[in-house]
Amino acid sequence: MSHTEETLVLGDSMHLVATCTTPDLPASQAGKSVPLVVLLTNSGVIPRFGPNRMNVHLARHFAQLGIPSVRFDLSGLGDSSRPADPQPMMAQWISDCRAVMDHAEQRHDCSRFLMIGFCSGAEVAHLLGLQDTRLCAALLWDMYAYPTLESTLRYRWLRVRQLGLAGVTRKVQGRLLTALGRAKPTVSAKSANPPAIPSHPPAKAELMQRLQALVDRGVSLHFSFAEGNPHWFNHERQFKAMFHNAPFLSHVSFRFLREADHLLTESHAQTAFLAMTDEWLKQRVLPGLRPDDQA
Amino acid sequence: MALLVPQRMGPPWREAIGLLQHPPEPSAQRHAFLLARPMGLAATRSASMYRVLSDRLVRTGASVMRFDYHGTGDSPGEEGDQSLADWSRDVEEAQSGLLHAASPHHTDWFGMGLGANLMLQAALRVPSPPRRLVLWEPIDDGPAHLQALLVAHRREMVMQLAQPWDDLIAQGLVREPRVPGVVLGFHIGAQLNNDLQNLPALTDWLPLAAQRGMDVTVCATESSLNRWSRDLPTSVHGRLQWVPLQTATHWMSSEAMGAAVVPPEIHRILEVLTR
Repeated sequence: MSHTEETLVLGDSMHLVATCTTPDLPASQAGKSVPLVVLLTNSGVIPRFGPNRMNVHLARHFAQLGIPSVRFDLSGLGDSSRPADPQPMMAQWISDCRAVMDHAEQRHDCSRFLMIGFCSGAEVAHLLGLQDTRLCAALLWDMYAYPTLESTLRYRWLRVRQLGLAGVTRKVQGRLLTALGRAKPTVSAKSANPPAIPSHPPAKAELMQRLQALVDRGVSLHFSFAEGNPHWFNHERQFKAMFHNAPFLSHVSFRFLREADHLLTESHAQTAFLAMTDEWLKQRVLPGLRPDDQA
Repeated sequence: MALLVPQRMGPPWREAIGLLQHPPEPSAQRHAFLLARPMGLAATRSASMYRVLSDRLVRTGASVMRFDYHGTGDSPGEEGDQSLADWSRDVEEAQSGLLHAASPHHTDWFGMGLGANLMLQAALRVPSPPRRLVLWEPIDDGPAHLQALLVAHRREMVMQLAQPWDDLIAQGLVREPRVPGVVLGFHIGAQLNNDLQNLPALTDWLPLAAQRGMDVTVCATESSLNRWSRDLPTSVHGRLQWVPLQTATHWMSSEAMGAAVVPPEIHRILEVLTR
């Protein structure tokens, strides 16, 4: 199915730049409602086209399935300016998302939204879902992670392998000297500059409450983590272990995408991400919509 | 607030998306800037810088156009199908769109990385050439640039996955990057690879720009500037200005992706552009 793309400026201050991708529906389907609209936005400072243009690939893929999307820059990111009277950052970004949803709702006559949030975008997506009931599904990529016993041991083992015996000995010596007050603590380049991860993770109990609230409202949640974050998420079982016994756990889906790095740099990682999204959409999201919601 | 106007440029089979930014109040100066982005990860990392540059230039009363080449960023098309000649024509289309929308008395162009090379090529062809061309760290050696991308790709994956390259290969988590192919997340197609392998030397093009009456400012590390300056005939030196950079920005890594990437030299860029 072909599609049409249009770049627009939206928002009260006309400060948000957004690109709408609309599938060109065949005449036989003209006038039918769309099942939902997809929202795609920034990951950190990466513009609205997404990490390695993933949002563009996703928008085109959704269009083939007859699903429209909007990819947009949040205030102060990519091409979007800050509004004339800005709110605190996260509140502003939630407002931005809602302004885009208002526009898309009018454009497509559809009030159901799915958001794909990469990294900091996942932070925005789950908070948006708590404030706006139009969000009915969210894919959260490399969002908050919390250490477990196994993840900590795995990371320590990785560091031992990286440092070697001599490196470990030096490290232990340094720690001992620091403890004895004979040396100042040092910060290694690695720990000073870890790969980008979502900022300010909330307390785990707080996040669990939020996720439960979303699930109770019927929001379909899919979590996925890349291989490339060994210091904070490093094995398949960690997700279940992090949220052990949480009631929402049996209602959400999860995939550890071992073939992917955080930014989906390699083409096989992009292909795997696209396939995972497609599977979640078709198996968990679309069947969950009310029958009269479906196109 | 400045007025943002999205633009679709180019023929229907090769559209590119641009963003035109006008000052809030019409200016008597009727001056305009065209900004050309670099490629791949460098374009992603410098996106914030281009917005900051646009905002600052608009404050001088000028209109500013920035855009994504066809097949890149937010524009239609596939990365793997592109060539330098096509992208250079996108620059021409962007200039045409800027002239049509802003009717400026004159334009100044700014390009970074490969965008600087593309601007230089386009400036030699457009009917209304820019008054001034500012080239920030243009690529001088295509094959060396491709090699640097391959090295940066391996380094990036090692950083992202926190394991040595050989271990990553052995586990099948990564593949050896090649051109043509996907390098640092950017698809370098066969034609683009060929174009970069045969990229004309900067010193072949700079005299032609000078002969067309353009003032050209080249910003790069001192060693590059010395080499280029030495290789150029003295007759063109009057039209060329060399701005040595204290720090070359390393655009080929996502290390600071979570934070805004605006190089410390941005005040020099603005100074050069608004001089």
